[in-house]
Formats: sequence, structure tokens, C-alpha cells
Amino acid sequence: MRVLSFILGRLAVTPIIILGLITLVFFIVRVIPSDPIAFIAGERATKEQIVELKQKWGLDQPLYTQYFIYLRQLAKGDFGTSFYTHQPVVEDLMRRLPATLELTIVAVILSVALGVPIGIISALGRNSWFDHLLRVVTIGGLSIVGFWLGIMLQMVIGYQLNLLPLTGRIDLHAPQDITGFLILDSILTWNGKALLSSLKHLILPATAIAFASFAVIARFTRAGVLNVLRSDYVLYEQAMGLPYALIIVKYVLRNSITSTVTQIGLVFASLLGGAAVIEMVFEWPGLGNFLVQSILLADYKVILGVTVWIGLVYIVMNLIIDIAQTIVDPRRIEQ
Amino acid sequence: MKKDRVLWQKLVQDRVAFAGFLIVFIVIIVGIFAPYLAPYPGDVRNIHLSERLQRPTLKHLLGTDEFGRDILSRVIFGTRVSFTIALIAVGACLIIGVPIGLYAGFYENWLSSVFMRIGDIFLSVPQIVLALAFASALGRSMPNIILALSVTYWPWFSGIVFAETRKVKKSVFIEATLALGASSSRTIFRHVLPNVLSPIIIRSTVGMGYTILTAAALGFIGVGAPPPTPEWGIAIADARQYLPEAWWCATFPGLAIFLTVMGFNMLGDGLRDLLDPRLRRGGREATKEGE
Amino acid sequence: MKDLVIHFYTDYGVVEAIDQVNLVVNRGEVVGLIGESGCGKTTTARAILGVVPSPPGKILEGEILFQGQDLLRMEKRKFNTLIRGKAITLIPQDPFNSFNPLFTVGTQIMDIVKWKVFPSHPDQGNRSENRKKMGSENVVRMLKQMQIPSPERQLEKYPHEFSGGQRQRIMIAMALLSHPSLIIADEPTTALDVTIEAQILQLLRQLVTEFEVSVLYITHDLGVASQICDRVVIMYAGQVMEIAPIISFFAKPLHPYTRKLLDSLPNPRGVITDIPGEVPSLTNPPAGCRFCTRCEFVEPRCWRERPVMEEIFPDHWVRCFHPIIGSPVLRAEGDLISGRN
Repeated sequence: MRVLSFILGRLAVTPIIILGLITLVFFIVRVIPSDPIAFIAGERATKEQIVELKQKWGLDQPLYTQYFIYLRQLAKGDFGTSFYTHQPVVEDLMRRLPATLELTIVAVILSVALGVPIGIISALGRNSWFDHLLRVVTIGGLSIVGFWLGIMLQMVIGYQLNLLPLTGRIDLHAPQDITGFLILDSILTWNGKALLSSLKHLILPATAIAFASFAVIARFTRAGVLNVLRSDYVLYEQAMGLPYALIIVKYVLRNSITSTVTQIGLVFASLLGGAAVIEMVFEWPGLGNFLVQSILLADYKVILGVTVWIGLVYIVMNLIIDIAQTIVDPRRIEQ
Repeated sequence: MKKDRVLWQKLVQDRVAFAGFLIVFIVIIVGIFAPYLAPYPGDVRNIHLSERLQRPTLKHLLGTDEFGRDILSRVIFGTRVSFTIALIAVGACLIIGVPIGLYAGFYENWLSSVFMRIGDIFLSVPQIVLALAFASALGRSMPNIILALSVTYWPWFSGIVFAETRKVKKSVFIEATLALGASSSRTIFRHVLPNVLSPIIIRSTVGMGYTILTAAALGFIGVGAPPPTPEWGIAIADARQYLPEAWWCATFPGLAIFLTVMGFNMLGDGLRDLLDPRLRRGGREATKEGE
Repeated sequence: MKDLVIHFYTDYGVVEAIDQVNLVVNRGEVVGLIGESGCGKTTTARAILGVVPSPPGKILEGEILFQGQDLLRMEKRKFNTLIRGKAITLIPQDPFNSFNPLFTVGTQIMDIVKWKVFPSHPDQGNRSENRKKMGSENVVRMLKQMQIPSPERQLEKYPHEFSGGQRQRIMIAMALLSHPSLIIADEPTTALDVTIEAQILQLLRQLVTEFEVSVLYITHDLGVASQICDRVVIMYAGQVMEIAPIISFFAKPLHPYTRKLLDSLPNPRGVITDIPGEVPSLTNPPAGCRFCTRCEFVEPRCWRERPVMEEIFPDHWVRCFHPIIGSPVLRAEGDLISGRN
């Protein structure tokens, strides 16, 4: 019952937060600054042209009217139209989403594949030289400058060694567009060259991203496993002489998983927007890149749309994780 | 106090933490004495086009950039920029976030919920996205970037303080203090705050590193401080077009960011080991058990 | 256990937790290891099973002889396979936390069976189905003996679905499955209500006779000890102070500390006495008898010199320069002594 009331409570608050987010971004984008019209119109626009453009885009209305109009449109699912591409924001968003998703998923897979084993080994060999080495490595991972690493990778591996491509998602062998996920599409259309090309393009940016996230996952896994190792039941299992391997593989791992899975979810959610700079570096046609460009161009409908969308995903992700945690471990409600 | 001396000894024993401490210390020193340490302090502004894009030599240990400016000097001055931004931003976050967290955690009334919801709004997107929007809206200047960073980072602090305050508040000795008639504000300051202090310290340390990273990212994108500020992120962005031949232009500023942030993270990690087990488990298992 | 010394190396100094502890458990007897919290009884018990946390703890000296072999110097693998969970088992203090919350009780019991009870059975030649069947039959039988109703169904449940008393019964069953020679019971009833405690104690008494197993029963509760122990070992601040058969102990307590312990028990006359002072810091303990800081009969000698164990009455030993012999123990009716003897 408590679980249910907790869930309901969170669900009730969520729309408020989303609304708050919309308001906040609206405020940032419209109230504070620069006039997108100035950008669009160009420097030599005449006064009449400016007025005309303002009317066309509904920018001549008082601000709060614009706000409510926007909200109303949003409720209908209309995110507005971009000043620059002249396309509905939703379309622009959807077109670029698969690129970011693909990159993020691959990056997360890499981080988990590297981070979880390292976390576990660290915890088991607690305080050994290996653990200390890994500690430094993970701290390094946390401190790594993603975009700089990306540039370095481009330079060394892309250019000097000429092993992997520098930018973009794929070269000439683009497969038929079914899902928008190049890997999937390549497999579905049996296009080996496309598959290879898309994989090659994915490696460098995914690695640049994964460096930071693998460190987070490794550290949380380590902490989770250590916590379990200290528990009474592990003490009991040891005292009763169960084989060490059995204790670790069957019991300890199972108990440590939950915190790791949570962390993976959070990492994934935060990468959606957080990978923006790396997308820039690799000219990856994804959401983050799009967002950055729109911000620089003051294309406010896009900024609003993309930010709100990322926010939505993040909030929903967090909600799911929190709910899952309370179901697994009802004590969490206290926290 | 013996306890402080024990803490200090432990910090020194932990080589990683101590290394972090040294790095941070060096960074601060370099920042303060930048004009004296940089071989060409004038290169913060001056241009020497005749010497542009020279490889690292004895004359210019880290080479020169596209305007002929000595990279070593600019990196050294960059320390000032980054550290200042981070310090003020984190400071502002503390000033805003800690009191809010304390209030919300202690009183847990409707106002607390409001504060926490507002914080949640800010936390609903990755910080860089919001900071980017803010910074570009505000315009390119140092104060603006600091503002953008503070406004988007304070919820992290208030969140931690909130959670910790709530925990401490439930402890019996707080109940006792209040039952004995101590006023709420007195209780908060004299009893709750000291116990909440260590997560705050740890978060601030790590936060410094994180802020420097974010500031560099913003600089890289182009919404940070305006040129010719010797900010590391801007330097990397400018250097991109001259890659891969003039590799030194991008490599060294990035390295500087990495080392500085690493220093803060190492220190923060060591502090976490030091302060946390001590408070949570009373010291018996405290010998380097890690997190 | 001979001359066992264990120190803990912490940030605040070296805690001399266990100071030359000697004790003996004979076949088929229940020995109570009694003392206040922090006196070292749990650490002593953990040392037998080799689970003293090893930083920061360290076993500096001593032997633990079990059926002739020194457990402290036994080869690790042999110790883990033959001793732990097989020849010597554990009933832990907190049955709730000692179960893994994410696995069914059945899984956990069967793991004990698989690995400790029937690791390889010569008759069945490693056929795992047969082993499993024999195993679960054994388990069901054992649980029935523990008075757990419909055990087959209970095995599918998770630990949190049971009451404290039931969990402890299951723990006892798990401790008995391999027919051990020695069970270490670490305050098994401390976490339970008094009525449940009584049931568990009764159950334990029956089982000890039936299975002919020795028990090292750790507790701080003299009342509980009186109901189940044949002999008691009194510990204080890491030292053994008195060892005696149970009746001799209650009739003629020798050590000043023991006297005070008995006096401080609630009695029908309603008089409450306590022991003034505090347990000494174990990072800087007195060189002699560790009770010297609070003893009313203390002499200068007590601080410097460590008294030796002396047998005052048959099989009744005390470590003291001035044991309290001769003064009768005033007991009113309805006092403690009850139970087995």
C-alpha cells in the first residue's frame, strides 16, 4: 500500500515539474535575451520587414500570451516550427533522435561492459594494488574532458593512424532507412558494408563518451558489492563454509545488481543531453548537436522543444527507477 | 585536537588523496602567482603573428597558438580563469543551496516541498543543457558564465543537504536537544550543520572539478567568456581548425583541464574515505575500507 | 582454546580485545560464554570459525584445538570444507539479517545441503538428482522436528515472510543438518521476544540431547544460561574471569565481578544494585586484572599482576587474588535456578 501511495504521489508531482521546466526554459529563452528575428532577418532588414516577420512568427504578442499559446499548442502535441529549418520541431526531433539514441546505447554498453567487471574485481580485491590502481583509473575517467578526448582520438586514431573515420555517422554506404538506427537497418537490409561503416563511425564518439560513464558505473558497482560483502548474510555464508566462488557468484552478485542497474539507467538518461558536445566534435547528426546549434541561433521553438523533450525522458526515467527501487526494497521510501 | 591530527595523518597516508591535495595546492599557487610564473605574461593579450603556430621549443615550452601567443603562459593564466569561475560558482551554490537544504530538511513543510520541486525542475535536464541555454541567453562574459553555472548547479547541493538534514534530524540527540528547549535555529546551526558538513565539503570539492569541466565545455561551444580570455575550453575550440598539424594548441589546454579536475576528484575521493566511514561507522573498520 | 590473543588495529589505537583466553568444550556439553556487550565473547566465537574481520583484527597468539587439530593453522581449503558448516556450525544472532533477502529460504538451505551435507555421497556416486531428493527429504524432516508446520511449502518463501521465531528455528535446522560436533550459538534468542525465547530454549535443550552435539552458547543473559548450560565461562573486558559448572556457579560465585553480576539481577526483594564505574579502555588496559578499576576488593597487586586461574572448588576455576569464598549466597525463593539441572 505504501508503495502505491508513493507511486501516486510521484505521478502527481511529475506534471508540475514538467510544467515548471517548460516555464523555466521559456523564461530563459524568451525573457532574457536576443531576438531571433534579428538573426533571421539579417543585418540589413528594414523596420517593416522586421515587423512583418514578428507578426508571422507571433512574436509581436505580449510575452505571457505567447507563453499560453505555446502551452496550448504543446498540449496538442505541437512543438511549433523551427525558424531555420522551417520544419515542425517534432519532425526535426524525430529525425535526429535515432542518431543520439544509437550513440548513447552503444556508449552505455561499452561503459557497462568495462565498468561492471572492474567494479566487482575492485571490490573483491579490496585494498590490493589492483584496487588502488583502478581507483586512480576511475577517478581519471571521471575527470576526463569528453570533447577533448574526442578531439585527441580523432587526431591520433582518425588522422595519424588513419584507422577510423573522423566525423559523421556513415559514409557512402548508407542503408535503407527503416528505423533510423543504422546498425539495425544495415542488419535488416543485409548490408554488410553499411554495418561496417556505421560501426566504424560509432567507435570513437562512443569511446569518448564511455570514458566518463564507465568510471561512474565502476565506482557504484564497487560500492554496491562492498556493501553486500559487509552484510550479515555473507558473514553467515562464510562462517558456514560455503565455497567462496559460490558466495560471490550466486549471492553477492545478485544482491549488488540493483544499485548498478539503477546507475546504468541514470547514466543513460543523462547522456541524452549530456553528449551534446561530443556530438558537436564528431559532427554527429544527433539531438545534442541540434540543440547546441539552435541555442547558438536562438531558434527558441527548437530549444524549448528539445529541452522539454530531454527533460521528459529524464524525469520519466527517474520515475521508473524510483518506482522499481521501492518495489524491490520498500525501505527506500524512507529515503 | 587529536581527532584533527588523526584526520590529517590519514589524508597524508592516502597517497591518492594527498596527490590530489598537492595538485589542487599547486593549481592555486599557479593561479595566484600567474603573472610571475608565466614566461610571457603579456601574451594574455598580445599578438605576435610572426611567431604563430610554432612547435614546442625551449623558447616556447608548449608552442604558440594561431596568434603567436605562448601557450604555456596562456595555460597558466587559464588556471586563474577556471579556478575563479569554479570558486565563485561553487561558493554561490553553497550560499543558495545549503540554507535551502537545511530549511527544507529540518522543517519539512509545504515550503520545503516547493523548494525541492523547484530544485527538481532544474535537475530534470542535464546541467550542461540548461547552463548552455542560460549562458547563451545572457551573453558572453565571465560573470554570465558564473551565473549560468551557479543557477543550474545549486540544486545538487540543496538536494544533498536536504537528505542529510532529514537523516540527522531523525537521530535521537536532535530530539533530545529540541525537547530540552533549544530553539530550532540554534539546533540547526549548532547541531545539525556540523553533522551535515562532511557531505557538503566532499560535494564542494568534487563540484569544483565538475564546474571547471562544464565551464570548459561552455567555452568550447562558444558561450563562455569572450576572447581573448585565456580560458582552456576556448583554447581548444580555437585550436581545432589547426589540427592535426599544430597538435600542441589543443593538447595542452585539455591536459591542463584534465589534471586540474583530476586533482579535485582525487582530493574529494580521499575526503570521502576519510570523513564518511568516520561518521557512519565510528572508526572501528576505518582502515582503508573504501566506500 | 589456548591462550588466544586477538588485537584490533584501528585509527584510535590498538584494541587488545582478547587477552589470553582459555576455554574447553567437552563432547556433548553446553558451555555458556557469558559477558556484557563488548567483553569479547563474539570475537572469541568468531575466531573459532575464522571470521574475525581481518583488517583490523589480528590473531597474535594461541591455539584452537578441535579434535586434536589446531584450527588456526589448518590448511584453508580443508578448514572451509570440513570444519565450517560441517563439523562446527553457527546459529547467528540476528536471523533476519543472516538470511539473504533476495533468495528463498529453500534455496539457501539446499545450498547448505548440497555443499556441506552431501557434497559427494559414496553410495549414490554423485548422481545429483538422488542427492537432491535425499537432501530435501532430510531438510523437510529436520524442519518438522523444529516444529515448523508444512515445511515443503515454507521452503518456497522468502526470509521476510517468516516470524523471528520461525527464522531462528530454520537457522537451528541449518546448523544441525550436517550433524556437527560443535554448534556455536551466538546469542540466538537476543533478537526474540521472551515467550518465543522460552520455546527456542526448550527446543534447543531437546536437540542437544537428541543429537549429542556440543554447544558454545554465547549470551549476556544469566537467566538464559541457567536454563541451558552445563558449564559457564564468564568473560570481562577480553579476559576469562571464572569457569564453573552451572550449579556451583550459582551457588558459590567466586569472582567479585560475577558476584556483582548476580547481585544486579532483578530479584523478588526489589533491590537493585549496579556496578559502579566503567569498563576500562581496551586500547590502554590495565596490566593486571581488568576488573581492577571497579572491584570493591581491589588491592595494589591487582593493577600490576595478572592473577592466574585457580581451581577453588571441583572444576570451578577463578582468576582472582581474592575470590569470595565462604560467604553464603542469599537467595530468596523463586530465584533463578531452574531448567535442566
